[in-house]
Amino acid sequence: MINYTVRRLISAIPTLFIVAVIVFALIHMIPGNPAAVMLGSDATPEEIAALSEKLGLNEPLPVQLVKWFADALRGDMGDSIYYSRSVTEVLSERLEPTFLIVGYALLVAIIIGVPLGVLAAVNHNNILDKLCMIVSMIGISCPSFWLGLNLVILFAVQRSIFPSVGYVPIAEGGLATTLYYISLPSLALGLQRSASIARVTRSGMLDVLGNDYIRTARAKGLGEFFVIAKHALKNAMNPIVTQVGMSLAQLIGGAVVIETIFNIPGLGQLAYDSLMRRDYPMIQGHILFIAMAYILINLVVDLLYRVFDPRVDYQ
Amino acid sequence: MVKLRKFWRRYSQIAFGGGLFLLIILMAVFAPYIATHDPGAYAMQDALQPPSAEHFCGTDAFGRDVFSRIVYGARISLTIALSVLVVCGALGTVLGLLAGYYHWAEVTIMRFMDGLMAFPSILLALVILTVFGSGIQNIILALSISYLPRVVRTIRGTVISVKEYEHVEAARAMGASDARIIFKYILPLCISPLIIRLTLIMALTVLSESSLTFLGVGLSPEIPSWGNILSEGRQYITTSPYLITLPGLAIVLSVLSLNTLGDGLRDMLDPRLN
Repeated sequence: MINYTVRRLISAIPTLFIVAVIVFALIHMIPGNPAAVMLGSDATPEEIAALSEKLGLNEPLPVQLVKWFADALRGDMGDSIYYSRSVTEVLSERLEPTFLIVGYALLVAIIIGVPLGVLAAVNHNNILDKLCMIVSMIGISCPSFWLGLNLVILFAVQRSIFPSVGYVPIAEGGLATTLYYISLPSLALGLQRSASIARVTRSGMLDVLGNDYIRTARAKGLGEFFVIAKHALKNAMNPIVTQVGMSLAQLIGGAVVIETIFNIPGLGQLAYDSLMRRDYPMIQGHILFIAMAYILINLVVDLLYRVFDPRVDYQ
Repeated sequence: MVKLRKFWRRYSQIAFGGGLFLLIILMAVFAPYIATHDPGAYAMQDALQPPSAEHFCGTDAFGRDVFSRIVYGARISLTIALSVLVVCGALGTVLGLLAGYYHWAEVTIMRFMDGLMAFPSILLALVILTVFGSGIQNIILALSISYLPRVVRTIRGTVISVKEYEHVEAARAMGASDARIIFKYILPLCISPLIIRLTLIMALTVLSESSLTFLGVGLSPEIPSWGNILSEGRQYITTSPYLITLPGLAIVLSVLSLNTLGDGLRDMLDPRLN
């Protein structure tokens, strides 16, 4: 398993390099000098020349790309134009809110999605199954930002149960206060993702429920709850884990919109703000960081297969 | 009667999704006849009116009729979704066929697609829109690039298995050219997965376009798109929540129709599911 993990991590480097090439190429497609675009229309030629020199923009593009990528692999993604600090430092400061929102949303998605999928599978083809699938189809079709705004109307405007916007860091208010503040954005993201988890759980469970060992478990008098929870669900876990991994990756993407709406200073809002401010070193670093997170999530999902199915061979 | 029930059970998703989507297409095509007011007409004296017989979905902060704006918004969303479908469908099919058939092309194309898929598509679209600017053409470009890898992967996956089929081997043995094998013997078998994938991409496009416009990087504010109506309504969330709820329902219904249609088509066209 260690060999497999190392192999996967090494094979991620070319993918990361391609991500770097794509982002680098996109940013250099902007007409004119990137330094001039970053500094705005009031910048003097001297200021533009100084920033170009600082960013290494006078060197040939392939040289700039290879230098930046090599530095990034060592953890140095350059300095942010707007914050005048290291990109890595700014990214690490914004991790907490995004990490918490994505974690909270994923928990909501699993808590709602898995039981809903199991319920649908156990009641296959009857009204409960149809109802669960209609609910999940509607859930998948809802934009998370619209769900978020409706939750604000229901729980912040009409009843003052949750705050409508804002974020309190754990260091200032403690974990409970922080979770209270991020409840609505996390619910909005989680409810939407729960729908796809429910659908995958249902289909995974249907594959398993027809197997002989399920019939044997029932025949030996095991209670239905144990048959479902211990024998069926455990063996249906691999597609569910895949879906949860995909949901985690999609939640990171969804956080861009949700954090901007709810004014939460996480990685998503940072990406949006950096794009609006044309802070290109920040954008490059941010995207490479997200790509690394995606690759790690996929790796962890692949490693988890073995936990639920010992037959999985990593050779 | 039994046959009819069987038919309905098999095609109910296609009938529901397709029917609903057809209604949305009709709404877009006949928008001038369905809209009760000019979607761009300002009437400050009627600003922020709640839903009524005169204004089915109320009015916005400029007194514009929200129902009419929603009806015209269908044109924008469908234009973008169909354009992304055409670009992704055409380019994705060619690249997928090449990547699946030729090993040299697979290495180049799939590594590039892996790179595009290694971060969230909404972030990629945001970067592209920031670089090229907002507007309908650029949003089509941004979303087409973002969703292209999904089509390429689908087609490549199908080509890899189809090119080992006996009829392809036979064509090769008879001296058929690569182009003939690809377009006559492989491409027809890629159509079903392509249709399913493109239907689901249209649904994603409607969602992403509204999200990007809502964030203020998609379409300019005067265009009556669903994302713009929601974005403007957000400022009046405490006093006029209908400005959020009703336009959002239009997005939900159109995405729901496409998702249901995609699911139904998959059940019908994918023999492994039958």
